[in-house]
Amino acid sequence: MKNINRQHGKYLALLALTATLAACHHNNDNSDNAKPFIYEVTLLNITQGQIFSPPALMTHAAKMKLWQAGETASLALEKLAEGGDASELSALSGIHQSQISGTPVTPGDSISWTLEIKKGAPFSVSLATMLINTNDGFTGFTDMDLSSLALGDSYQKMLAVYDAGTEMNNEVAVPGLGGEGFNASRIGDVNRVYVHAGVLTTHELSGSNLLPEHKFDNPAGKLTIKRMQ
Amino acid sequence: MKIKQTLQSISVLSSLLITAQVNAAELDIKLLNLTHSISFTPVLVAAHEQQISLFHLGETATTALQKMAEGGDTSDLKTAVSAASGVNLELTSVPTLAGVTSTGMIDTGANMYLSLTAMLLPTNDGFVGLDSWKIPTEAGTYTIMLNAYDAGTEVNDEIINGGGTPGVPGIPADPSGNAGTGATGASNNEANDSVHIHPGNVGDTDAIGGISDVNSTIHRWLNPVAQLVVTVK
Repeated sequence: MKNINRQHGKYLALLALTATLAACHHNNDNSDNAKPFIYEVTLLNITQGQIFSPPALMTHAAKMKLWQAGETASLALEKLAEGGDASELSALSGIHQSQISGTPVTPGDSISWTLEIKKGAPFSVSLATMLINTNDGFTGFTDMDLSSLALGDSYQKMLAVYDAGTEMNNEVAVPGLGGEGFNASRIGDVNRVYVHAGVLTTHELSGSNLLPEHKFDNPAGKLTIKRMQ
Repeated sequence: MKIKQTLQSISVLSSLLITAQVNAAELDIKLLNLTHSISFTPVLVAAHEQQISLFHLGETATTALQKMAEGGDTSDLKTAVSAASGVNLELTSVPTLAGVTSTGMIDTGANMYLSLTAMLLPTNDGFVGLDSWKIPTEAGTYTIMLNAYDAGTEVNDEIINGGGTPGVPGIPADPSGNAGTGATGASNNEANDSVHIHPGNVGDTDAIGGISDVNSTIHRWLNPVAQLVVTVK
């Protein structure tokens, strides 16, 4: 059935060759041009004890970055990084489509999405999730262009942890342990996104609610993207 | 005449290709321990096919992996590799200290993937690892930075008591000679029972008590913990 479809797609592509040439600059494999591109996106939590808040997978205009190290976090990113709420981030102007998981991703577990990108739609993808036993730590990737991924190929990336720079790391206001989530104040932090320095835990920081199992080192997540169609 | 020449060049070309393939199976291996004071138990390098590996990130450790990660015992891993027509290289046969470079050679035969493991001391079930790196067919020198993994099979209590077999808590030893004693335990929970990135040691600075027999000023690390240089000949 799959083969028949593919064959059918080839003839269609041949018939429509002149019409599709202009539109196929996104991809060098134009035999299935009439069909949307379909990807399987999988995120594996490889931390010891950091639960990922419900992750958001988004497509958006090319060159749009949901964060940039060294730059100030948007309010939408702050809400994700401090409270695990991806709803504003995924509703930003320029976001073309978004899927937010219904559940968090526990250590050792993974989540998979089917991502369908229709002809002419943007190929830039971002993913973001909070490490919920941190003050404002998050992981993911932003503005990855999928257009050069060939059919059947997969791409793997190890994900580092960032600090949104919007909340002091007192290890008390951590929503995973019932602490405060989002707070608009940025007093006490550097107000720029940087690579997270890790957590100290109760053994090393007076007042910390975190335990040794909440410690992490990079990478924290493993991403796999496979082009299915 | 022309045809003959072409045929000759084809045969020359194909013999060159065959030579290249045979040579490509021989690898020079160089491993550098990048840490401050974390020792490696005997380092196992294995060439194997895609369906097997010494470990897989995100999957439950095999008993063979557990024996290596908790006590440095590579015997079951080697048996598994051999049984699957893989090739083993014991890069080192005794524990080696931080800063040490270990070298060796492996003839991979027809195997296309390379993996590596060695336990990190002092940890409960931490190991440095390479999971199924596809061996390039092109000759050259390739550098890979390796991370520290946690087998997920033992609580990281950081008590150095000689315990190094599955089911026995504790850390076997600290070859660097900085082991503490009398610790009460740094953790009582293993929050991820599949292979994951090691969260790092907690440690303390109390050599004869405290929560940990690991020293927080000596026995810490950040990834990467080793540099692997593979030369495909």
